[in-house]
Amino acid sequence: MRVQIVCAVCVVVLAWVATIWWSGQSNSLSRWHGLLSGELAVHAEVLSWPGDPVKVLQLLRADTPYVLRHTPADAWPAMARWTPEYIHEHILSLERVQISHSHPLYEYHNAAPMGVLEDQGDADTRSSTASPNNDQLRLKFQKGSFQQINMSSTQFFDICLRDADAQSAPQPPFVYYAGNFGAKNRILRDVGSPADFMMDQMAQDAKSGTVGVLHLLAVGS
Amino acid sequence: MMRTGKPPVYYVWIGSRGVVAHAHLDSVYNFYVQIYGRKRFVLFPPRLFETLKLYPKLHPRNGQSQINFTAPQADLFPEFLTSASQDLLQKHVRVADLEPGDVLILPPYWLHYVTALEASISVSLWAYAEAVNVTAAITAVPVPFHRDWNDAQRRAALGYFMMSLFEQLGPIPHASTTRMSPVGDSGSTSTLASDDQSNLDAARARLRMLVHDRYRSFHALPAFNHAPYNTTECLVGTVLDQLALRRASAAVAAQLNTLQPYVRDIFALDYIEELLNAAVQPAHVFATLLGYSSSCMNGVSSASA
Repeated sequence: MRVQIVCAVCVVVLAWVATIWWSGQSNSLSRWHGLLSGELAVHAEVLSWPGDPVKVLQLLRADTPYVLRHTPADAWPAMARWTPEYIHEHILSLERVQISHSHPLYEYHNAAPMGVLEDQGDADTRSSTASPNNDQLRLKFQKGSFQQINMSSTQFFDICLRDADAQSAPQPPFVYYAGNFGAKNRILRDVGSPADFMMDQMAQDAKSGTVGVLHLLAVGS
Repeated sequence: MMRTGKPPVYYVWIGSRGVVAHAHLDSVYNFYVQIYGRKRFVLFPPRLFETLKLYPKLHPRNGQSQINFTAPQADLFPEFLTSASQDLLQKHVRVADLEPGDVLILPPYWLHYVTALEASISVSLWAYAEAVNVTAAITAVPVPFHRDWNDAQRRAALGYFMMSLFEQLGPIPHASTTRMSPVGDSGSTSTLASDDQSNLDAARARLRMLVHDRYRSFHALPAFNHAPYNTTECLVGTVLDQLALRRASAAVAAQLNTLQPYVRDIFALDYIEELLNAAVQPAHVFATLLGYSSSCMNGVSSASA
C-alpha cells in the first residue's frame, strides 16, 4: 500500500513538473515567434535622411541599424523604373533561381565547405557529399526540396506575382533570385550602376574620409 | 573607416511573397534599398552570437545560425527557449519593416533573418568592413608547427596555442564567461589564487563554452566523435617550442583585439578552425577541438609553462 502511495505521489509530481516545463517551453516559443513577427520586438529607429554626410557617418559608427526615409536614393532612376513589369520586359532570363514547392527558406552555401574534403562540383554537391552530418542537415533544413534552375523572366514573374492567397489550386511555388544582372545589361546602364557610381564618388572624395557608399544616398542633396 | 581596398559590391534580390533568408551575418556594411514590395528584417547584434549558435567556419552554412527558427531544437539547444535567453533576445533584437523607398543601414556582423512580406525587389550595396583586413593579418602570422613533430606533439602544440591565444585575448566585459558548460566545468573560478589565475580560468571557461556552443550539435554524430587528448598531450610541459608558439599567439591576439569583443571571439574560433584544418586532417578538426576542450581544460593551464 505504501509503495502504491509513493508511486502515485511520484506520478503526480512528475506530471506537475512536466506541466510546468511544457508551459515554460510553450511560453518561450510564443515569445520567440512574437519576436520574429515583430509584435514583441523593438523596432529599428526610423530617421529622415540627415543631409550631412558626417551625421550619416555617425549613424554608421553607432553600430546600430537604422531605417532611413526620404533619402536622395529616392532620385535614383531604378527606384521608379524597376517594377516587375519593367524587369520582365528587359531581362529575358534569370540564372540560378531558387525554386521550392514546399517551403520558403532561401539558402546559400559557403564556397569552401568543410575545408578541403571535396573540391569538385558546386557548393550544393559538396555539402551533400563532404559533410558527414548531411542527413541531419537535410532533416533540419529540408534542403532536398529546393532546386536551382535558370528561368525565363516571364516564367519567374508569373510565379512571383501570382497571389498565393488565391483559392485556386495549385498554389504557386516560392521563387528567389539573387544576382547583379550582369554589368553589361542595359537595365543597369539605364539607371547607372550603383557600384560604378560609388567608385566615382570615392575617387572624387578621396581626402574627406567620407564613405563612398553614402554618396549613393547623397546624390542630389 | 571602410578603407579596405576592396570595391563595394551590389546585388539585386527578387522574390515571391513569403520567401525567407535564414539568419546569417555578413562582413560588410550593408545599405539595403527597398525598391518594390515590403520586407521584414529581424536583426540580431553580435552580442547574441552565443545565443544563436553560429555554424562552424568550415561548415557549408558558415555564418548562419544553427537554430531552426520555425521550430527551435529543444534537444540540441535546450537553453534557447529558456526565459533567460528569450529575455536577452527581446532586449537586443531589432525589427525593421521596409517599405518601397526605405534604406536600411545594417552594420557588419549583425545577423539578419529576412522575410518577404510581398513580392519584392531590393538592391543591397556592400562595402567591406575593416575586419576583413584583420583576417588577412592573422593568417599572415607564421605559426611554428614543425613538420617533424609526431601527431601527439602536434596535438599538444595546437592545444597550447589555442589556450594561449584565448588567454591573451582576455575576457569580454560583462560576458557570460561564468556560464557553466553543460559538459562540466571542474576548472571552476571559485578557487582563484590571483588575478592571473582568474584571467586564465576565465579564458579557459570562455574557450570551452565557445567550443561547446559551436560544435555540440555535431558531437553525437559518429563521424565527429571527439578524440580525447591523453594525459601527455594535455601536459603543458610536453609542448615543444613554447616560446615561439606564445609569440605567434600574441601576434594574432594583438590583431584580434582591435575588433569588438563578440566579433573578435568569432574570428578567433574561425581562425583556430582554419589552423586545425591545416595542421590535422580536415575530418578531425571538430574532433580535435572537442577533444581538447573535454580532456585538457580541467585545471590544466598553459601559464604553468
